[in-house]
Formats: sequence, C-alpha cells, structure tokens
Amino acid sequence: MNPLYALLLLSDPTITTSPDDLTAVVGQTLTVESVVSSDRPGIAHLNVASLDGVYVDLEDWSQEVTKAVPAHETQLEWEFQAVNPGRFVVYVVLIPEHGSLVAGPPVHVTVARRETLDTGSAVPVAIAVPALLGALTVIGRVRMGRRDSGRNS
Amino acid sequence: MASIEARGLSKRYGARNALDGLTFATDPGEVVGLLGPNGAGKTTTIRLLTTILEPTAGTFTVAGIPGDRPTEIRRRIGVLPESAGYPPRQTGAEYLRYAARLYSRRDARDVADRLLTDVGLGDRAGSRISSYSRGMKQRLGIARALINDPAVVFLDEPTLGLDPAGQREILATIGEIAVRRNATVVLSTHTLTEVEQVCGSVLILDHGKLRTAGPIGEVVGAGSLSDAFLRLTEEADHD
Amino acid sequence: MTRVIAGQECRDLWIGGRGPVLVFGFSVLLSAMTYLAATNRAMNFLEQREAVNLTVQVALAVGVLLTVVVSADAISGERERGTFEALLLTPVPRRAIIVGKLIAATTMWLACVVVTIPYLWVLGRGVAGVGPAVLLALTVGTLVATGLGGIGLLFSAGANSNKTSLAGGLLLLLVLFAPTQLPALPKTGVGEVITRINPIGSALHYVSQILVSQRNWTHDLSYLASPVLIALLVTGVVIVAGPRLVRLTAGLK
Repeated sequence: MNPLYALLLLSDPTITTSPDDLTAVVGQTLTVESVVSSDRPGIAHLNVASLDGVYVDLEDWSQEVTKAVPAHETQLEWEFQAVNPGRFVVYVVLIPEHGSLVAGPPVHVTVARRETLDTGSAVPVAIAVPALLGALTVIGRVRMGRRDSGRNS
Repeated sequence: MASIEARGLSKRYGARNALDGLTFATDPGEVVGLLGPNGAGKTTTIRLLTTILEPTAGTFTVAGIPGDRPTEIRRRIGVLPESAGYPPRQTGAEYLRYAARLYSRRDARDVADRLLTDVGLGDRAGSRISSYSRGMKQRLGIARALINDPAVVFLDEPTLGLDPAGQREILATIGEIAVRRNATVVLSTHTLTEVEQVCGSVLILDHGKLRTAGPIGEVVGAGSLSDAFLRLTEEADHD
Repeated sequence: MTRVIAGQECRDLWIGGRGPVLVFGFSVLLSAMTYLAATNRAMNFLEQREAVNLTVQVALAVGVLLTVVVSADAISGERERGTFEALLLTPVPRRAIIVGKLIAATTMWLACVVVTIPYLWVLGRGVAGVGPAVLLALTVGTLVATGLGGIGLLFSAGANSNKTSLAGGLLLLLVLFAPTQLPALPKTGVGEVITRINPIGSALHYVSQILVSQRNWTHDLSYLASPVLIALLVTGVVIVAGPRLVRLTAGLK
C-alpha cells in the first residue's frame, strides 16, 4: 500500500476523560479515568494546572504521570493526591510517535483547605500511652525488687 | 536388672573420637563415680546416656529402657548438667514448679515446696534465683533433677566452684538420694576425695576410652584412688 | 505441653522480662509520630486516612522487628545462658518447645497491636477507618509477624551465638523493608513482582490500598499471597523440622 495513502486513512487520536469535575479536601486521593483512541502508539501524560496561580509540583500530586499507550483504544486510570487547596485543572495529553500533541478535556478539581488532624486530642494520647506503659514497667520492676529484698532480709 | 547398661558406646566428631566403645553396667541404688581428666569423655558419656546426643555406635539402656526410646528415658532420669544456667528472674519455687509441669505433674506446687525443703532452700523459695549463691543454685539444680522421682540421676560436676562447706552439703545430698530414693547416681567429678566419700564404684575414662571400672576397693587395690587414677591416665598418655 | 512452654515463655517475656520495656519504646515511637502528624505544619496536609495508614505501617514494621528480636533470642539465647539443656532433658516433645516459643514471640506483636489502637483512634476518628485499620493490623500483621518471627526462630535454632541469630534476623528485615521505601515500586513490572514476593512490601501495599485508596478488601487480595505463604511455610517448617532443629548445639541433625 502506498504509505501516503495509508497515512490518509489514519484518523486523529481522541481522548475522553471522566468525571468532568471533582471536589476534594487537601490530602484526599482522587481517581480520573481516561480513554485514549489512537491508531498509533504513543505516551499519555497527566498534567495538573492551577487556576489560582499556585505553583504545582506534579511529583507531589502523582507518582505515575506517564503511561505507554499502544495503538487502538486504551483505558487508563490516573490516581493522584490533592496536595494544595484551590481550583485546578487535571488533563491528559497524548504524545504520539509522529505528529502533534493531543490534549484531552479538562477535569476541574476544587480542593478545600482543611486542618486534618485534631492536635488537641492527639497530644494527651501521645503522652498518656507511653506514660502508662512506662509506669507499669517501673511498678513491675520495683515490686519484684521489693519482693527480693523482703525475702532476703 | 542393671539400672544403666552400655555396650560399645561411641561418639565421633569428625575424625575425633570423643568416646570409644564404652561398656559398663550399674545396679539400682549404686553411686558411681565418673572420673577422668579434662576431655576424657565424661560429659559426652552423660549426654549420650541422657539422650541429649546420639551415639555413633553402640547401644545402651537406662532404667531398663533402650536408648532408641529417648522420651521414655527422659521421663525416668534426673540430670544436673555441667555449667547449668538458671533463669535469674524466676524464683526457686517458680523454677521447680515449671519443671514439675514439664513432667505433667499435677502436684507441681507440693513437690516443688517439698524438694526445696529437702535441699535446704525452703526459706528462700520465693527469692529470685539471681540472688542465690553458687552453692544454692547447685542445690536448686539437684532439686530439679529429682522433680520426677527419677530412677537414675546424673550429676555433672555438681561441686564445681563451691567452697568446702558447699561441697560437703552437696555430697550429703547425693548420699541421701541413693539411700532414700534407691536411685542410681552417676557422679562426674574431678575431685577424687568426693568419689571416695560417696561412691561405691568408679569408672575412669581417658581420651574417650574406659581405663577401668568396678568397685572402688578393687580399682584402688593397696594404694589410693589418686595413685590408681594417675597410673591409669598416665599409662594412656604413653600408649 | 505446648501450652505449658508457651505460658512460661510468656511469663519470662512479660513479667520482669524485656517485653514491657520493648513495648514502652514502641509506644514512644508511635507517640512521636502521632504528635508530628497532628501538629507539624509540613505533615499537616496528611489526610486522616493517610495518617491512619502511616500508623499501621509503622506499627507493622516496628512490631514485626520486635517480634523477630524476641524470636531470634528464643533458642540461641537459652543456649548461651545455659538453660536450654535442662529443657531438652525433660520428656517434652521438641516440637512443643519450638512451637511454644513461636507462640510466645507472637504475643509481642499482639501487644504492639493493642498499644497501637489508641493512636489509630485519635488519628482516624470520624473517617470510619479505625475499625478496618485494627482489623488489618490483626490479620495481615499477624501473618507477617508469624512468618518472620518464625524465620527469626529458625535462625535462632541454627545459630550457636545470639549475636549471629539477631544479626541474621535484622538483616532479613532490612532486606525486606528497603524495597518498600523505593517510590512507585509496585507500578512497574519488575517492581510489582518484587512487591508481591516480599511479605512486608505486599502487606504494606494491601493495607494502604484499603485504608487510603478505599479499595474493597477483595480488590488486591492477591497481594496477601506472600504473607499467607510465608506464615504457612514457616509454621510448617517449625512443626515438621522442629524436632531436628531443637538441639543442644546449632544446626540440623
């Protein structure tokens, strides 16, 4: 087959993503699914952009931001953690072996600020448990020591 | 029936013969001294007869039970091992009660209390073993060796490191075991005077071989046990 | 008779023994971690489920370490202290001795689980993650602790020196724990295999999938193959080969 004719038969790659938008609190782990349809193999890349101008360190958001995509339709699952509060857009880009980049639709992610842990009750537990165990250990040893000295005297 | 009977008992570690063809027999109620210089094979003999080690060759019976039934033998013997260790945090009573439970004794508490009294530790039963003197620990070890009313008792260097008073107490206890319990006692020691005091017969080992066995009177002849011991072990060195 | 041995070993460990001191140290570690998780700004973005997961993971790693420390001392330590011969001279089956010692060592892990519960409660209140976390620690953690504690016991049976058996046990833990600190290990082909065959790595992965990613308990169940296998295999070896391993001197008969 004429290579030029074959190239004309190839359709443009497409990317669909779901859901369209997400809400979360800081620290929450989220999942986005995307379907990449392409006649040629390529690499799918996850991107996160802030709509508030906040700096986004992609490594903090996800440990896996690139995935190899074979020819034909491929379903991909992206897991990421909402690290910063604010409004963000998460989107997938296909980098084909030849030709232009193809970007998928954006997923709007709204991340709410939250003081996640209750300091007030954590501190008493953090002090009480070792104090209790330490006291039990010391009491046990003192009692054994007293028993010995009592018997020896 | 012999309380211990060994025939051609041998133990090899690679090329070294720790024990070579030991043959002897003892009677119930007899106190047998096991003598020999360091490395003679005394502890190996005791470990073979108490089923801790397996012989390379030979057969034996202890309390009429053949050596290929080790669990049954262990039910009928009591042992004070050489350099026995003791759990320092347990009390003497706890230590003996545990030992009694290991022999499935239902009267663990009673037997522990009785034996502690028998060996003169009744007033220290509730003290931790870490507070015991060496002599007290040895007496506790002897009490443990008697926890199952054994037919044969093996004592490996029971007076090692004790002062003369401590040695006398232990020897008195050993004499009582044979008389009151009609148990055979095998006493391994370096101290020849101890053997002369409490033993009726003696086995002298050297370099893994039995040099002589029999009643002390026959072994000693006209001289002393010390002379006989040195003659027999020095002869071996010239062999 | 196994019960008598296990009972005495537990008393030796917990009454006047080093069990209470080790558990106290364990609680200090968890307290420091909980305090930092709850107050440190750098860590305060931790989602509650992640904090619970982190606590379970630290508890599992350190709890298993303490279990191995106890089990690695069980036989070689008695040999060194000169108390083993007296035990071997009793009619107690060798199998009962080694199984009793394994049971006693496992109580160290169970104590760690009990101590971890208040920390999980304070960090995970309101997210329904505390119950599953305790259950995961009890099930998955017990499998890992039994398996690796059993290996520590086998080291102890095979070593005349307590130092050798302890070093062997700690080295094994280090080798198993190190890969879990590599980022994104389970996501790659070889990495996933390494994670799956490593009882600690696969257990930590399974726990985090349930506690953080909120997967169903059956979703990554295949990751439990390694902890289950190691627990069954080691327990089997202890039971079958126990009589040949429990000897006055180290090594197989």
